[in-house]
Amino acid sequence: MLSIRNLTKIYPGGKKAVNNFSLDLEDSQIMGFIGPNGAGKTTTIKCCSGILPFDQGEILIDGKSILTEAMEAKKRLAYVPDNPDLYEYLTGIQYLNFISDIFKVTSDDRKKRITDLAEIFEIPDALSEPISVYSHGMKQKLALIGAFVHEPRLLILDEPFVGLDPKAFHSLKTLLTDLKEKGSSVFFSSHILDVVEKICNDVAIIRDGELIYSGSMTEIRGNESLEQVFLELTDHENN
Amino acid sequence: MKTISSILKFSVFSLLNLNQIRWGKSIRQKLKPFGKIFLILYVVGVFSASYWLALSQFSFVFRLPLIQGLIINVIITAGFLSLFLLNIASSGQMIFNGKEMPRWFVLPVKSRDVLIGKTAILYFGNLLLLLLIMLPLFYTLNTVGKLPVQNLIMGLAAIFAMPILPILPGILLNLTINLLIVRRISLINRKTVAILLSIVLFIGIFLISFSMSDQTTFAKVFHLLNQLAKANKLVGLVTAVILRANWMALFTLIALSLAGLTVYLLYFSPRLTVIYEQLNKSISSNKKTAHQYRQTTPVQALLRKDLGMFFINAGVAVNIFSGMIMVLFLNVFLIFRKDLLNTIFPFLEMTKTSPGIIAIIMLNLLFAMTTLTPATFSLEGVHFPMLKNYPVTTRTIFFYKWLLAVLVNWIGLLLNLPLLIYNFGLSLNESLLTIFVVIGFSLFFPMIGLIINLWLPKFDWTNPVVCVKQSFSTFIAILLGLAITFVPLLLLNQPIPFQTTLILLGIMAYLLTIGLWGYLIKWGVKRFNRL
Repeated sequence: MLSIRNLTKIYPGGKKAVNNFSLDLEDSQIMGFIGPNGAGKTTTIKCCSGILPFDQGEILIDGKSILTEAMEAKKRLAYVPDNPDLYEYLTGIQYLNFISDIFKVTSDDRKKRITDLAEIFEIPDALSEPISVYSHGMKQKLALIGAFVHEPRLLILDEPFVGLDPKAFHSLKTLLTDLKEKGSSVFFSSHILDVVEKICNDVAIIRDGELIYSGSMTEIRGNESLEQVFLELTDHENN
Repeated sequence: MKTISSILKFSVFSLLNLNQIRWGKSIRQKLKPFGKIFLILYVVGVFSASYWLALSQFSFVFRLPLIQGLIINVIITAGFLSLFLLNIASSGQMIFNGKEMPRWFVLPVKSRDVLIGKTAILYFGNLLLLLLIMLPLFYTLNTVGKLPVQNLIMGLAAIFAMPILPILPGILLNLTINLLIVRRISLINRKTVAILLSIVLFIGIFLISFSMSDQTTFAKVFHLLNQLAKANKLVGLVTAVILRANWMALFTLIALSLAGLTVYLLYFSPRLTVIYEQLNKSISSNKKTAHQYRQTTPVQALLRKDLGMFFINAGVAVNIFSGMIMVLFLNVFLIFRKDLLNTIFPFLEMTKTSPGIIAIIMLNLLFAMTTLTPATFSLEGVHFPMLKNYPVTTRTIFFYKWLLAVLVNWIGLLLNLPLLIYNFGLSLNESLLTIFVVIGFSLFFPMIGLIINLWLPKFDWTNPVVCVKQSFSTFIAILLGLAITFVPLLLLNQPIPFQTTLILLGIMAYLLTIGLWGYLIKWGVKRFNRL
C-alpha cells in the first residue's frame, strides 16, 4: 500500500532531515511510526502526502508514484497534519462538503458518512458553527472526519490522538481497526506508545532521519513493553 | 523598557519581513532580474514624477504634463489616499485581533508595552510609505523648486509625527464597528455587516471630501494633493510646514500626535484583553438548519473556499475590493454630475478622442485595484501545504484562482459598463470596442497578480489584513497594475486610426494573457511545488 524507497530529504541550508529511508506497508496493516522529537517523522509523512518535494528516492501509494502519478496517488490517501489548522472561515459542514467535493464523494455517500462520523465523534450540532469557534479537540475531530469521509486506501496521520477526549480517543482506535478490516492501511506517528502498542501490527522507528527498525510489533517487543524497547534503542543509538 | 524593545524588535522584524525579503545577502537572491528592473523603474518613476509634480505644483512651466509623470502622480496620490483610508479599514484588526495576542497575554508583559509594540508596526509601516513618497519629492522641491533646506528638515520632522494621527481614528472607527457588531450579531453574519459598514464608511469619507473641497476633488489629478490638504487638516498642517516653514504648524502637529498617543495608550492599555475577548466572542446561532450535502465539482468547491477566504473579515474584503467600490461610486456620482466630466478627465477634451478610452482606463483601474490574485497564495497561510495534498493538479489550482478573480472583475464590469456607456454617451461601435478591450484586460490583470504572488508569497502572517496590506506582492501588483491602467493614454494621438489602436490594444491584452498562462504553467508549477 505504501512503499518508500531510499527517501532522502535535505532542507535548504543542508540539513538532511531524512536519509536513505525505506519502508513498506502492506494492505490491511496499521503501522505506528515513532521516534524522538526532530527525528524526521513529520518530514517523512509530509513527503508521503505530496506536500514536501524530496531530493532522492521514490514513494508509491497503492503502486502509484507520488511524483509522477500524483493525482492517482493523492486520490487514494488521506492526511491529517499534527496541527489541525482548518479553514476557520468555513463552518464544519462546509469544510466536510469541501473535502467531499475535492475527493468526489457523492451526495448520498457523504450524507451517510458525515452523519455517522459526526455522531461517533459527538459533534453533529457543532457542524453548523464556524470552525473558528471550535476547540483544539473539536478541530482534530473534524479533521479526522474529513479524512474518513472519502474512505481512503491509505490513511496517514501525524499525532492523531493529541487533543482528543477519552471517548473520541476510543472511537478513533475503533475506526482505525474498522478501516483496516476493510482492506485499507494506516500509517501514523505518535508519542503515545501504549496506543501504538495496542492497535498496531507493525512499527517503524526513526532516529536522525534514518530508519532504525521496521517490523512486527511482537518481534520487536519480545517480553518487554514498546516503551522499554524504544528507550533502549534510542539510548543505544545515543551512546 | 526591555519588554518594549523586545516587542519592537518583533514588530520591526515583521515589518522588514515583508514577504520573505530578508535584508542582506538573500535580498539579492530574492530580487531576481524582474525585481531589479522593477525597482529601477520604480525609483526612476518616483523621481521623474516628483520632478514633474514640483513643476506643476509651483507653476514653473504651464504645459501639458508628461504622460509618465501623470501616471506616477496618480500612483502617488492614490497611495497617499489609501494610506489614510486603508488604515481606517484595518488598524483595529491589526492591533487588537492578531493571532499572536494570546501568546503575549500569558507572558509577564505589561499590556501597555504590548500596545506600544503592536502600534509600532503600523507606525513604521506608514512611515516607510511616507518616506518613499516624500523624500524624492523633497529632493525635487529643493533642486527645482529652490525650497530652503530648513523647510525640508522641518518637513522631515513633520513626516515622523504624521503617521500616528491616521492610526487613531482608524482604530476607534474599526473597533466601534466591530464591537457594535459583536454585541448583536452571530459570527456568520458578523462579517457581512462589518463589510457593509466599512463600505459605507469608505464612501462616507469620499462624500466628506467632496463637501469640503468645493466639489472638485477629482478635478485634475495633479491638484488632488492640494484638495486633500483642504479636506484633511493633517495634510494641511504638513503642507504648511513644508511649503511655508510654519513652526506653529509643526508644533501643532507634534503636540496633536503626542497628545493623541498618550490618550490612546492611557485608554486602551488596561482594556487590551477585554477588547481581544470581545472581538473574538462568539454568539451561537440558535437557529438549527438542515445540513446540505449536494455534490459539486472540485473547482466549484475551491472557488467557494477562496470566496470565503477573501471575506474572512471586513478589513481584507474592503482592501481587496476597494477598486470596485471606488470606480462604482465615481460612476454613480457622474450620473448626477455629468457637468464635471471634462474637469475630472481633462485629457478628454484636450485629446479630442473617443471617451471609450476613459471607460477602458476606469475599468482597468477597477481590475488593478481588485487585488484577489496578488494575495491569493499568501492568504492560504498555514493551509497552503494542504492545497498541495489535495488530488487537484497545480494547473487546476492556478486556473481556479485566476477564474475567481476574472469572475469578480466581470461582476465589476457588469455593474460599471452600463453606467460608463451612459455617462460617456458611447456609440454602439465604441461600446463594442470597449467591451472587447476591457474583457482582454479583465483576463490579463489577474494573471499578473498570480505570478507576482507566486514569486513573493507571505504565509507567516498574524492577521489576514497584514497579509494583504503589508504584502510586497500586493504593493507591486497595484503599482504595476496602475502603470498598465494608463497604457491606453500613451496610444493617444498616434498616426494610426484610433479604432485600430484600440483593437491592437485588445489583441495585445489577450495575447499577453495567453503568454503569461504559458509562463505560469512552465515556471509556476515548479515554483508552487518548491514552496
